[in-house]
Amino acid sequence: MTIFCRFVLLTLTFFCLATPVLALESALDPAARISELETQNKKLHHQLRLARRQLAETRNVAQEPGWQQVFGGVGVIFGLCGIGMMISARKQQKNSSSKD
Amino acid sequence: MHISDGVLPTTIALGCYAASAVICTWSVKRTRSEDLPKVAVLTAAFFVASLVHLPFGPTSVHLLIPGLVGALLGPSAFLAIALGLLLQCLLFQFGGLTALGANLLMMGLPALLAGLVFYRFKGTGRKQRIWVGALCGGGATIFSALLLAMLLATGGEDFYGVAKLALGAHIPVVLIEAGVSAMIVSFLLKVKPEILDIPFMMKEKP
Repeated sequence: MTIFCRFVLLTLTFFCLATPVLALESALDPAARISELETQNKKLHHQLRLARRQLAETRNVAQEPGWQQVFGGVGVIFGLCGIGMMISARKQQKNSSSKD
Repeated sequence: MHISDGVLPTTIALGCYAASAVICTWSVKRTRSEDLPKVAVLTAAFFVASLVHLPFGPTSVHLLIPGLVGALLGPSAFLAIALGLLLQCLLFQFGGLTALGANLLMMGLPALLAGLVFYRFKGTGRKQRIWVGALCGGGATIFSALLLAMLLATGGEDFYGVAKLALGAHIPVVLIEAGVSAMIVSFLLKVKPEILDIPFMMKEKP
């Protein structure tokens, strides 16, 4: 058996022996477990907040008005102005024709 | 500076709608047909001005120009702002449809006041007109921030807290508005001074 194989086997044995002890330890100490869970929770919260912020950012970008909206709005304004002018012009025409 | 949907109580929102409908009707009646192109141009300017973001320190602010619209349009300003805000609300998602009445009062009343102040105090001198224009631009923004605080106070917010916050956030806007208004008034005095003579109190008919 080479030294390397021996080393691997030794490590494996130690590993198998050590894990139940570790698990036992954490099960025995609820405070440690709770604090561990809390740190995990904090990490998850942080990640969730980051994801939410990104989502809001993309939503903002998606809602940002493009040129279509701007020109459309300006078009609506001038169109309404045109309708108003047409109505007033018709009124004036009627008035002048009734006077004649 | 916009009030979003669902912030105001329903009765206040409906009341604001009613009040702005009354003022809007008055404004339409006072609009002379020969002024329509001017109204359209300023409505378009008001509509687009909110997209002009000016960098200021760490944040950027956008123009509001109710004071300028009021000074140049007089009583028709409310109509212009109503149309501009409606389109901003529909196309840019500024504020909400249920809060449109409140937003309209918030922008329209300062504009009318600015129109009245400009009409009363513009005098004849070039310098005085520019100063009064700047005052209208800045003052209207301050007034609308106060109105915002008042409207939010009806929704259960603390008036002084919101007023402080709104005024603090709008100090750069007030300064920029005053500057922009002064610049535009001085430019108009050079190229087309008759555009600044709007009758506010009396309807002038030939």
